[in-house]
Amino acid sequence: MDDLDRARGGDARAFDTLARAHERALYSHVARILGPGPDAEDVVQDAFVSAWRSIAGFEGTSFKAWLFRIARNRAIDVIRSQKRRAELPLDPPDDEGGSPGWAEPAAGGPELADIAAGHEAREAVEAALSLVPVEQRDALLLRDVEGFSYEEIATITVSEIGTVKSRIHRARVTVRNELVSKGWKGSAG
Amino acid sequence: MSGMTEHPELLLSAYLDDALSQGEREAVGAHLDGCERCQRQLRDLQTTSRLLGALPQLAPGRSLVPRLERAPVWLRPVRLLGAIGSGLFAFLFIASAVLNSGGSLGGGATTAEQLAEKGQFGAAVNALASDAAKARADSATAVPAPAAAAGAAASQGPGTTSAGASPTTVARAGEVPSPAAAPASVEPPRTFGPPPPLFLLIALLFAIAAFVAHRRLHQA
Repeated sequence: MDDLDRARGGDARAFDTLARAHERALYSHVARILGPGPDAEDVVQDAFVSAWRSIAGFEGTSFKAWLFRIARNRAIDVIRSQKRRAELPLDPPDDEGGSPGWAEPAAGGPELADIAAGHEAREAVEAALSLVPVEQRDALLLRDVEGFSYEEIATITVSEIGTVKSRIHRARVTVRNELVSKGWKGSAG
Repeated sequence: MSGMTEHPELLLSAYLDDALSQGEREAVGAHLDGCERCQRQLRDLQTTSRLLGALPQLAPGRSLVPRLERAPVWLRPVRLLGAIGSGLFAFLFIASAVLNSGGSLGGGATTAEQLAEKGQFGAAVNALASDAAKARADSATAVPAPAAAAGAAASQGPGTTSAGASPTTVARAGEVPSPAAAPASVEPPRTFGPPPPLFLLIALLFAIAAFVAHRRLHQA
């Protein structure tokens, strides 16, 4: 019997072990959606409490995906309530056909690969990521940072596979274009 | 999809992530073989994906895993009983305080009550005995109350707590009047059950039990 089975049976220590194994990843994901700080921390903590209360009825196999679904939905709810107060849409429409624009880099910048390990690069990527619409960013992070499959992302975000493909691609292009706008020439130079 | 003439830009990320059907994958692969532009875009997307994957995890400012000890099943009844007991004994405390003080409202506290309040319980008992002696002396010898009471007061001391009720003591009370003991015979004392502070103490204990149980339940 593993930790998940024991947690399902009401073993608080087993759940604690599972939760701690995903705590930072979950917080990182929510913090990149909501912004780091107390809101993201509260969302993650609420997600753990909610997961604990309903784990007896959890019948899936991926505890991580289930946890991310709970936390991600709560984070999206927080954003929706903030946007509702400001009377703004959650995201611009992102599922129509057509390819997102592909910015051509200016000559003379470094290759993206050359700056991949640098601290400045990480900051630039974080800044570029923050400009991506929320639901696209969510899907992209679930794929590139957490390594979920497209099917898992569709389940976590309660979306169609086609929507997931579109969101991930558009988000990647947005990040890439933003980096190019900072001076990197990408592979086109 | 084979023979793709348009650039399959929207499929490049899914191609990179191996999320296309077999047919789509083969078609995009065939296009890429002959399209330098799509190859460059694919490389950029791959690099972008790698950069995102290299982002460090963010650390929360505090532990986010809540304490999840399940509350014992007996905690709820304890909380309920604690709350009820606390209320009940608080009521008894108030009621007993009011009733006990009510005796003095009519004509002031008797000597026995005053002594009891000061903690001089032995003297209070003797004063009670003297009251009884006075009552009997009044009816048997028609001696003025202060004198009878004085006789009873004169008999105060160890081993005399029951003497006040005996005929012998009543006779002596009549023979040895003493006005100094007069205040001890104002009126019979009235007490209702245990002292009020005891009720208050029990109410506090119940309240503490209810509070502790509530905190444990709330944390769980």
